[in-house]
Amino acid sequence: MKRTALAPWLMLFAALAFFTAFFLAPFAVVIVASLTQGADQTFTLDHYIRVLGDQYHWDVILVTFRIAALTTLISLLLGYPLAWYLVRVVKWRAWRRACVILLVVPMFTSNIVRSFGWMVLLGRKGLVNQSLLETGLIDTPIRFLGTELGILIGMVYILLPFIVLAAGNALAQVDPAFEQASGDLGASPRATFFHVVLPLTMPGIISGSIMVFTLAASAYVTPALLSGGRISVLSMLIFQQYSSVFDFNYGGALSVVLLIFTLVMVGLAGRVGNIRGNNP
Amino acid sequence: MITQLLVRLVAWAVLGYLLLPLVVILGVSVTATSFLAFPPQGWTLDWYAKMLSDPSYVASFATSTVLALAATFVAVLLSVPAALAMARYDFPGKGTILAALTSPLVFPHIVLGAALLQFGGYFGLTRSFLALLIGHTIIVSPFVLRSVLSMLTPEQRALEEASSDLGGTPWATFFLVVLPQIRPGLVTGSIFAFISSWINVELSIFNTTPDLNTIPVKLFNYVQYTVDPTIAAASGATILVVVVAVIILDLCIGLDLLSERK
Amino acid sequence: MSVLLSIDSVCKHFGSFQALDNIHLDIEQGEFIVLLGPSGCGKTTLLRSIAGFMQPDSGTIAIDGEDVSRLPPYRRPLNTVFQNYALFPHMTVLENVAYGPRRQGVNRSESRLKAREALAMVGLEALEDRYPRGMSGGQQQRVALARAIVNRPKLLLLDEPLSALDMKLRKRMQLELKHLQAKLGIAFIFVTHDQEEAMTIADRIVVMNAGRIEQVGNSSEIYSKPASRFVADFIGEANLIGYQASDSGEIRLAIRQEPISRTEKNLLPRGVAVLRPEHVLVLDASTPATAGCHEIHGTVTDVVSVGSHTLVHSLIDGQPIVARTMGLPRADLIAGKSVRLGFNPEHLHLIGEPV
Repeated sequence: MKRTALAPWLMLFAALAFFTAFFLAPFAVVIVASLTQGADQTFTLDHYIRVLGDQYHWDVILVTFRIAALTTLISLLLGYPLAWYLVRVVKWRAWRRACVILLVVPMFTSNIVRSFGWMVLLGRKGLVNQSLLETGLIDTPIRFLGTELGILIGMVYILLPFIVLAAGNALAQVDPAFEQASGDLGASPRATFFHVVLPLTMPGIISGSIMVFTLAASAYVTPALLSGGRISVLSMLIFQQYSSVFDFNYGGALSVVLLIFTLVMVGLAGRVGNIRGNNP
Repeated sequence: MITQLLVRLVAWAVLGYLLLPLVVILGVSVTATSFLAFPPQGWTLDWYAKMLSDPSYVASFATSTVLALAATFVAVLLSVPAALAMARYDFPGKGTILAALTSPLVFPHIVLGAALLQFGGYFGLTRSFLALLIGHTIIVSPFVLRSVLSMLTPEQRALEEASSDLGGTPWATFFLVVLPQIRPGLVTGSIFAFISSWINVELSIFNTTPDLNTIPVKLFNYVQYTVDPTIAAASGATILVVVVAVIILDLCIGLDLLSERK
Repeated sequence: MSVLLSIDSVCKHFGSFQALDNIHLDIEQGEFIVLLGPSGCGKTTLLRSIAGFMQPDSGTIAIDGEDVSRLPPYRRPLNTVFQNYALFPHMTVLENVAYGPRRQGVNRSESRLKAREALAMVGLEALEDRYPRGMSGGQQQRVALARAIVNRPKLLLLDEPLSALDMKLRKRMQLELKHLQAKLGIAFIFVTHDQEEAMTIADRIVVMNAGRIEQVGNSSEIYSKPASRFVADFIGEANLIGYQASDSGEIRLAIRQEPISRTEKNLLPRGVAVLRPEHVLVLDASTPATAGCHEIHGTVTDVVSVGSHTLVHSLIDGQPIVARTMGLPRADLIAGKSVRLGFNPEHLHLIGEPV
C-alpha cells in the first residue's frame, strides 16, 4: 500500500529527528572534540597519540579486553550446558519456564544491585570465603574484591544470561529432522552432536559471544564496584575524563576508540549470524 | 549417560550461581544486625521501614519510576509510527535506518552518556529531568521498535487491507485493527523499555544531582562508602519490583522461550 | 523370496488416541511396498516405528529374523528419505551423501567415491559441490535419495517424498523411483495418501485406516476386490450400494426391485456392493434390453466432462450413482432429465458387513 513516496518519511520523521538530534549529533560533537584542542578548536591528533602512546592507558585497554575475553569464554563454558539442559533435557514446561524466569530476573536487576550482591559475597568475611574456610579448602581468606578474578565473577554473572538465551535459541531452532537424519544414516548421538548440532548452532553462538564480548568491554558499573579502586577499565577512564578531569577532548578520543571497537564487533556479529544461515 | 549427568550438574550449579546474589541481598536486608550478615541473624523488616521513611530514598524511587514511565511513553510515540513505516513501505536506506535506530542497544552507554553531557552542555540541557528523559528515551526506543516490528507480519497486513476494503478510514483501521494486533509486541517492548530505564546507571550518572536522583545511581554512590542493611533493603526492593515485572511479562507472553520446535 | 521385514502385533497409542492397532505385516526382499491411507491413519507412525524414531507400546519388528525393536535408528540396517529431505544445510551435496559412509568408519576418499556413485545413479553428479539451499525441490529430493541409498541398506523407507513436488515432476519421479528400486534390488517402503501414486508404483499396497491394516494386495486386487467399504471408497471412484442376501443365495440391491441374476452362497446377509463407474453404462432410447444387463432408471443431477471421459451423476431411488463414459458427453444428457443406466451383475463386488 504505497500512497505516496513521502508517507514513510512522514511516519519516520519524529523518530529520525529525535535520533539525529540526540544520538548522532552528540556523537559528532564527541568525535570533533577528540580531534581538536583548545578554545579555538585547532585540529590535532594529539589525543589519539596519547591514547596509543601512554603505557598506563595501554595497560588499561589490555586489562579491559582481557577481562572481556575471559568473561566471554567462561560464560560460554557455563552457558552452553545450561542452554542444552533447558532446551534438550528439561521435559516439564513449568520447570523450564521457572528456569527462564530465574535467568531473566537477574538480567532485569540493575548492575549495581547485582554487583552489590557480589561485594557482599566476595568480601573478606563474605559467604564465599566463609564456606571455603569451613570446608577446609583454604587457610586464609582469599582476596576477591580488587582483583581481576572478582571482577570476572561479577561480569560473568551479568552476561551469562545473554549467552544462555543465544545458545538456547540456536539449539531450539535446530530442526529435529536433521538429528533424526543423522541417526538414520548411522551416526551415534555423540557424532550427531559434533557433526550436525554444533555446526548448526555455531552462527548463533558466535554472534552471541561477540555481543557479550562487546558488552563486557564497555561495562562500567561492575568493574567500578568490584575493582576496589585498584583496577581500571576503559569505561572507567572515560567516565573519569568527563566527571572529574573534565578533559572532554581526551575523553572523546578514548570514547571514539571504544566506539570504533564496538562498531567493528557488531558488524562482525551481524556477518557471522548471516553467512551460514539456517535451514534452507 | 555421563555427559548427561555432567550437563545436569553444570546446569544446576549455574542456576544456583544465578540465584545466589539475589538471595543474599534479600537475606541481608532482613537481618537484625546492623552490619551485613549472611546468613541473616535475627529477622526484621526495620531496614525496609527505615528506607521507606527516608525521603531521599522515596524520592529516588519516585524519580526512577516517573522517568521510566515517561521514557517508555515517548519511546512508544516515536517507535510505533517508525515500525509501521518500516513494515509497510520499501524505501532506500531502510536497512540502514533500522540498524541505526536499534544501534543504541549495543552502543556503550557510558559513551552515550558522556556525549549527551557534552552536547547538552551547549544548550543548558544537563542535570535536569529533561536531560535524563532524553538519554533514557534513546536507549529504550529500540526495544519498542523491535518488538512492535516483529508483530507486523504479512498476515497482519492482510487484515489491515481487509479493513480498508470494508470501508475503514486510516485512523479507524489503526485503532480498531492494527493496535489490537500489535498489542503483545507493544506490551513486551514497553516492559523491556521500562525495566531498562529503571535499572540504568551509565546514563543517569551524568545527569543526576542530590535533588534529582534515580535509585540505581543513589545506590551506586552509597555503596562505595557505606555498606549497611538499608542499602540491602533498597536493593531488595528493586529485586522485588523486577520479580513482579517478570511475572507480569510471563503472564502476558509466556516465558517458555527456549522450547524446541517439534 | 525370503521375508525381510516382519512386523508382529505392533500397537502404539498417544494418550487416548490409538495410532497403531495390532499391526501384522511381512515384507519380502526387493519388494516395493506402499503404505496408503488418509492422514491420521497411522502410516507415518508405522514407518517411524520401523525406522526407530518411535517405540511401539507392544509387538516386535524384525529385520532378517533379528529383532530390532529395541535398537536405536543408527543401529538399524535401513535408511530413510524424509518428507522435507532434511539435507544438512552446512554441508555440500557431496558431503551430505558421503555422511553415512563416513560415520560408518569408511575413509574420506572412499566415502567420496561411493557418494559420487550414488549421485550418478540419481543423475546429480554435476551438483556435488553445491549447497542444498537454493536447489530446487526435485534436486533436493534426489540428493536425499542418493544419501539414503549410498549405504546400500536392506530396506529404504520413504515418507511422502514426492508430496512437495508439482504434478509433472511428481509423475516423472514416480517412474524413476520404480526403475531405481528395480536396479538396486533394495526393498522400498513408501508412504503416501495419493492412491493414484500407490497404484502406479507399488508391487503391493497396504491400505491403512484408523491405525489398522484394511487390506494388503497388488493394485488390481485392491481395485477390483476391495476387502472393505473403506478400501472400495478410498481407491478410485466407487458406487457403494447396499445389498441383502437370502439364505438361498438370492441377492437384492437397494436400488432395484428384482434380485440380480447372480447367486452366491456363503455370503453375509447384509453388506455393500461395489460397482465401479466405468462399469455403469448409460443407455439411450435405442439400446434394446438384454438379458445380461440390469437396468435402473433415475434422474441426471450433474454431467462433468474432463475431455477424455465424462462422469454422469444421477439419482436412482434416492441413491447417487456415478457412471463414467469415454469422451465427451452426449447432447441429451442434461441435469433434470431422466436417464437409463445399466450394469452387468458380474461386475459387482460384494463385501459382507457383519451386523
